[in-house]
Amino acid sequence: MLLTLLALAACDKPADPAAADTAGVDRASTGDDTAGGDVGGDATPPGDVACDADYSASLLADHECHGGEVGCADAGPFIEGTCCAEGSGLVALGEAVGSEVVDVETEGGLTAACGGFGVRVSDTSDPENPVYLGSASDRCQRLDWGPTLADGTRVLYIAHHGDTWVITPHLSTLHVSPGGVLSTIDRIENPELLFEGLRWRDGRLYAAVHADGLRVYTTDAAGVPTLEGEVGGFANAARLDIEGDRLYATDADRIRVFELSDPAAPAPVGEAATAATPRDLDIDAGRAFVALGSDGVEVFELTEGGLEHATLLAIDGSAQAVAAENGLLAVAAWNHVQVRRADDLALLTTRKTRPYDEYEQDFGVDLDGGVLHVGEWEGVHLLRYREGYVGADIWLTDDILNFWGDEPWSHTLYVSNRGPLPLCVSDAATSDPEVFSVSPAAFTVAPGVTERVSLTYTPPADGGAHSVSLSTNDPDPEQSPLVLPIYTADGSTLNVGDTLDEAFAFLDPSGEGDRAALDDHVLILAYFALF
Amino acid sequence: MPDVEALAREFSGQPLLVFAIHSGEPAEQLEDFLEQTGLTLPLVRDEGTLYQFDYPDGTNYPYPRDVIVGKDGTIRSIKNSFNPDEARALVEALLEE
Repeated sequence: MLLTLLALAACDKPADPAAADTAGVDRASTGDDTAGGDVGGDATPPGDVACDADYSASLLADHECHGGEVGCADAGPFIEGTCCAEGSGLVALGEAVGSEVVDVETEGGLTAACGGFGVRVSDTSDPENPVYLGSASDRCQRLDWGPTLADGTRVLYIAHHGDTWVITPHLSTLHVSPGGVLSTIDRIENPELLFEGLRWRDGRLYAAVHADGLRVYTTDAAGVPTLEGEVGGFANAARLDIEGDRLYATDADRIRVFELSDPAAPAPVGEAATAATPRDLDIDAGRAFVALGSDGVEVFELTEGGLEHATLLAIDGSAQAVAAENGLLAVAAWNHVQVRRADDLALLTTRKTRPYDEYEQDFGVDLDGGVLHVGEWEGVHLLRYREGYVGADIWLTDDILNFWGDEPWSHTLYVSNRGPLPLCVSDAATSDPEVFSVSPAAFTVAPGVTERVSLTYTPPADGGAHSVSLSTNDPDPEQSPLVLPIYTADGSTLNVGDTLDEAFAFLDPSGEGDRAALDDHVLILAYFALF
Repeated sequence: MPDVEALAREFSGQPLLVFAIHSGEPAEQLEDFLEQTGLTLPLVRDEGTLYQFDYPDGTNYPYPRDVIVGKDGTIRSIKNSFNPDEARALVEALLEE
């Protein structure tokens, strides 16, 4: 039987390098995925890396924690001899309401999140105290804010391309009153039009419609769209962005560029192939940032003739959405969020929005004044980027371990440090030390280095759910301790051909708990969860 | 879930029992869910049975999981995605056994 109880080993004792048991640590090649050289370095034998201030200061000698317009005085307390402060580069401010969130857009102090239970709108003008305004029940996948009407009403456009839950695709227009009341004022439904990405600009709404390309709508005084033009030639138009007089649209394997001198009739001016199918794009400061899922982030320079490939960056996680603003690039990377320097893509900081042992799904991100609005499946997390704050940054390639528990088993954990300071693992422990062993129990990981840690299991385990926890100096509160779930199956699980036993008596429709009441019936057991 | 509901409706009056089984979702969320989906299947709270089922090949996440059982109580299918046509064909065959 597989159980789901997790024993969390709370290990917050500070690192003691002198007492560290570093025997048995092996080194692997660096797992560094960063560009720009902020972190890196050769693998350093454990024991040579000290978790102390002097070493940190020496590492940061060439680290530009503060540059340009931001002065050293804006951060602190400083690591001696540097202009860097130790701490999380992303701090949690608040959480706005969302449900099954797949896209998020913020504008003018309002944040809208599209998801399985409709669009949810919150006033995030004070990101530390987001106020939920309301929802509209239409399930949606993409959205964009439209105009602000004379009475202060905000127009919001939402779209869904249709699935088993939403039989007919729709493009809907909503009003958000100054008092925060949501109402749907228009709905375009067409089973042939698979509505996807939306962008409203200067009285027109542009919609990506998969193989049907682009549709251009003019919007009236209430924001209601009326079809004005169509652009074909797409295999799979999905996401849009507009900068200046140009519109950029993702296709199945490329970015297409259109000139909007006649905004009702976008004229193609160029295109560029992408390294993989685009998931999202954002245009900022003369460049196009494209999320490519597990293939990373691709960057294009905008040119007179369209755009030109500049960089393809592999990242940890899976790039689902990107947002660039004021020299920063935010990436929703499925199981964490990243902030990078936009010009050279150097990794500045990362953060998880949910504890490590929970299933995190960051699908959307927007940037507004240095505040990230991260659309995670269960809500919208508001995080402020703090320039100049640095720390260790742990990364594990595993997020769950799952194996048969009736045989001996061993596994290698690859523990990487993406941050510019040493990662000090003060205690690596398992929930069931009588059957699991982890070696070494304490070690350090130099910046840019990956270390190997051995996890060994000797049967039999009592119960099916276990964990290994790593207590570290990573300033991300969701990662210290980092608790990695381990599930073992005892070999007696039910499979096709097995027979339901008395445990299923609770399904007796009479409520009597009689398993025999199910006999002579075909059963469909549809297990579901509301994430 | 709507596909499961449609299948239950299609075979109504026959010896087919269809259960929508959750693992203890808050009542408020379940009410929202019912309102949004119009679901009429019996909602049942699981008593620890989900994790008795083997994970289908290539999956390591429990939801959604659809299990089809024959009249003799034998498990005939465990899937992490619901294919209406496949399920309909199997249910038809099992009802005739």
